[in-house]
This record gives sequence, structure tokens and C-alpha cells, in this order.
Amino acid sequence: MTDRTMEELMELLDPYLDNFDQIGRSGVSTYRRYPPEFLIEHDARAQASCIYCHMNFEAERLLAGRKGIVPKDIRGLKIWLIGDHSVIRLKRMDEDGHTRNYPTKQARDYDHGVQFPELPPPAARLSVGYFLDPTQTQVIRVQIARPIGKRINWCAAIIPADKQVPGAKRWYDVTRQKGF
Amino acid sequence: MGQFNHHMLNLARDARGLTQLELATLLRVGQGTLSKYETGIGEPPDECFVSAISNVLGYQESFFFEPGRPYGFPPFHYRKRKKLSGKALGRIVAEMNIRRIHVQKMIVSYEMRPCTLIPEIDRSEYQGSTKRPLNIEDVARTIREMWMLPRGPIPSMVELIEFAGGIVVPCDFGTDHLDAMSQRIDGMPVLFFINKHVPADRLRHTLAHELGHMILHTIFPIDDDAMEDEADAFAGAFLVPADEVTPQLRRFDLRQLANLKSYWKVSMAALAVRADRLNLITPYQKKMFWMEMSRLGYRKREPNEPPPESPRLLKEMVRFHRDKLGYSRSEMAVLFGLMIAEFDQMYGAKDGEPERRGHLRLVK
Repeated sequence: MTDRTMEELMELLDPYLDNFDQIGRSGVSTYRRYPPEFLIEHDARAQASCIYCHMNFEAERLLAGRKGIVPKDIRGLKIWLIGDHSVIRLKRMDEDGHTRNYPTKQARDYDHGVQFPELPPPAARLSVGYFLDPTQTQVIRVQIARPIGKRINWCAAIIPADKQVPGAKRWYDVTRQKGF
Repeated sequence: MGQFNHHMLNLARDARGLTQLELATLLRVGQGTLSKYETGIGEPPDECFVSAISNVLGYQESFFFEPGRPYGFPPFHYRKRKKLSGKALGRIVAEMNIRRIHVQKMIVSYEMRPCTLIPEIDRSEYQGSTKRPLNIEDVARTIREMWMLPRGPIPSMVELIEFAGGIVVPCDFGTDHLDAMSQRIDGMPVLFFINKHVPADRLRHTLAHELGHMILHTIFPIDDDAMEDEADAFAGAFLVPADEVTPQLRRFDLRQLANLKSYWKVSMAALAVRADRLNLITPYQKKMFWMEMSRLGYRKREPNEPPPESPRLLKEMVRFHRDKLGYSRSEMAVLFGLMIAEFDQMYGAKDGEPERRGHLRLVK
């Protein structure tokens, strides 16, 4: 289990942030290009599945073959190993970084940090995902969350490339603050 | 020029949103003098006065000599009218009348060739011998069949109305309390005046609502609230037929409504009302939906607005006068009784477009 903080991990992931943002947004925008007569036949689960496929395809296009990035498929759980510090999976999320569906055993083990023989032990298990508006049609933000079991340790939103300020941080903390 | 028309003075003042006292002050005359001119009591004003009101109100002098009388509101829209101030009402009526006069002038030369017509239903005849009460769903279905509309969404409500011989006139009502008005006057195409600031999704429903009034209430006006309710039910049934939407509304949440909106091109609010009319949702679902819509601010403006529909026929009429009949911009402005700048603003002549000059002709 890694003991890196959000700041440290986000700094390590900095070269990939624009790619993550693009992956999340393009998954949704590709799905929204489906003819509306098909969209009305999809339920939320079908929508999430379609977007997930488009995100994975975009991830293959942007990340595969890049130095230090290794795609893995652990019994159906598709993940991307980034260096030796992080491992990410692509998800739909709520504003806190929780994933919304009923998790598979692999997904539960992933979130709980259970060791997989294919993964280096110190890599932080992260989720990269999109957070949609209430109509589920527009991306509000793409974010990176650090789940630990059912809890979200931290969650950071990526600032889209066209809204970034040169020299400034390309992400901001959106972790839900605990109540007093 | 003919006789001074006191109605036109009233109309021009209302269109500019001025009270009688304000205009009298601008003209440096007593309100009593202006009042008498407006009511038509006593001698008509002299040329100097007409020139002065033309300058102050920004209409051509000929505008005040147009014959005819203005038309008031049709018998429906009573509820909406109650929300409007007298000034706002006056402005809307004036705008409608002025735009009607423009259309009236253009159809003298422009021959309209509607592919079908906007029928008027006489309730007593429609019921016929069956004694079955008039059913709005049936009426909407009949109109769709009569106009040979295929299943599915109507691609463009504006185009459809123009196809049926109506004219859609975008107006600036100066208020968002009123989305549209319609008028059926003998010898004229059916006119639909739309507030150009209305979002595209609401506009489609509004146009279908007005169409409902024109079909159901021009022969046989009924109680105000009942007319509004029927027109609303007609709009829903016409845009979103029950047999098609019922299976689609089995899932009722914002996500599904947003997808249905992009398919049917009507607002999520209109779809929720439709679901309620078809008894597809419970009162609790309805209540929660409206609470959610208010919380998200979607009751004012919804996300995922469909592309705007813009009227074509009115532009084509103006183009016909300019290109085929050789009217210059200033001649068009005179025809409408407008100043050139206002004509350009209303009918979208391009800035910097050169004034059309008379062609040289070979004289033998």
C-alpha cells in the first residue's frame, strides 16, 4: 500500500492529466452522438457501459505504447499501470468520486487494495472518471479518486486544457469535507 | 395620402411604450390635444404635427395614414394577459398589428402557395352523429394524418406551419410573460407571432399550442381556462403522440427525459406534463419532478436546447419584393411605414448592404 499524498500522486500524474480529461470527455461525447432514437432505449447501465467502452478505446489510442504505461486486464478488470506509482481504472463517478454501480469481486478487491500478482505493491489504486450533470448528458468534470474500500480518501478534479492557466496547477481538490 | 388614421397614432405610441402624457411632453403639446387626435374627436392634425410625431415616434409619415383598424387580442390567452401590465399589453398588441400590416402589404404581390391548410373545427359538426365528445388526442391525430406526417418527432414546427399556409412572425414583445400569439383574420394567412427570446424547445410547444387554438377555438370559443387546457393538451398530443411515447415514458427520470427531449425536441417540462396527462406517473413522481426542476433552475431554462427554428416564409416575402419586384431598402421601409434602420433590424438586411438603385434601361 502506498503512503503518497494526493499532492504527490497528482504531481506524478501531471503529464497524463490532459489525456485523462480527454478520455473521460470523449467517452461521453461519443455516446451523445448516438441517434436519439437509440439513446431513449438505453437505461443508465447501458449508457455507462457504452461510455466505458468509448473511454477504453480512447485510452488505448492515447496511452497505449507510451513509455511507462502498461495496460492490464485482471480477469475482466481493465486497468492501466502508470510507472510504478499508480494504477488507474476508468469509471463513472458521483461528485465525491464514488463509483455508482454494483462492484464485481475484482473491483472490490481493487478498491480494498488487495494484492494482485500482476501489479506492483506500492502502486496507488486510483479511479479516473467522469461526473455528469443531473440529466446525465453533459460532463461536469473529470476527476481522479483514491478509493480505500468503500471510502474515498481523496478526490481531485482535472481542469480542462482550455481552462488551464499557464504555470498554475492543473487540478483542484474536490474531496468532500467531513462535517463538524 | 389618404386620411389621418387616429388608430395608427395610438398604435405607434403603444409600440414605443410611451404613455399619452410622455408623448405629449415630447411633442410639446397638451395631453388633451393628443388625446383628441388619438380618439379621433375633432379636426385631424395638420402636416406639421404629423411630421413631428413621425420624428418623435420614428415612423414614416405615411404610417399614420394607413387605413383600417387595429385588432385586439384573440379571445384566448386570458390568463397570460392577466400577468401583463397595461403598457406591456399595449406594446404587444401594437407590435402584432404593425407586423400584420406588413404581411398584408406583402401578400398583395406575393402569391402564397400553401400545400395544405390550417383547419377550423366546429365542435358541433365534428362530433357528428356519434355523440362522442370531442377528444383532443383524436383531433391531434387527425391533423397529423391530414398533413400526412410520419410517425416520430416533427422536424420543424415552424416549417410545418408555413407548409400549412401560416406565417410565423418573430417579434420582440419586450416581456417573457408571453411566448406567442396567433390570429386568424379573414383574407389573411393565419399569423403566429412568436417572442423571439423564447428558448427553442419551448417555442415548438408554444407554436403547437397556438396551432391548437387556431384549430379548436376560432369558431367556437369556450371558457378561458378550458381553452388553455385544450390547447396545451393538443400541443402535447400533436408533438408527442401517445402511442409512441407511452413505452418510452415507462422510465421517468431526468436522464430519460433529457434523452426524450433530444428525440422529440420538446422540453423536459412538456414531456413531464405529457406523462401526467397520460397517467404514466404518480402524483408523487410529478411533485418530485417539479421540485427537482426548480432546485436545478431548469424551470427557467433547461439544458440541451434543440437547434433554433427560424421562419423562412417572411424572409422569402421580403426577398421577393427586393429581388423580384426591385424594391430598394428605403422603398420597403416606406411600404411598411418604418425608418430604414428599423426595417433593417426587423427584417435582417445586412449592415452595409448598398442601397439598391434603379436599373438602367435602354430606351428606344
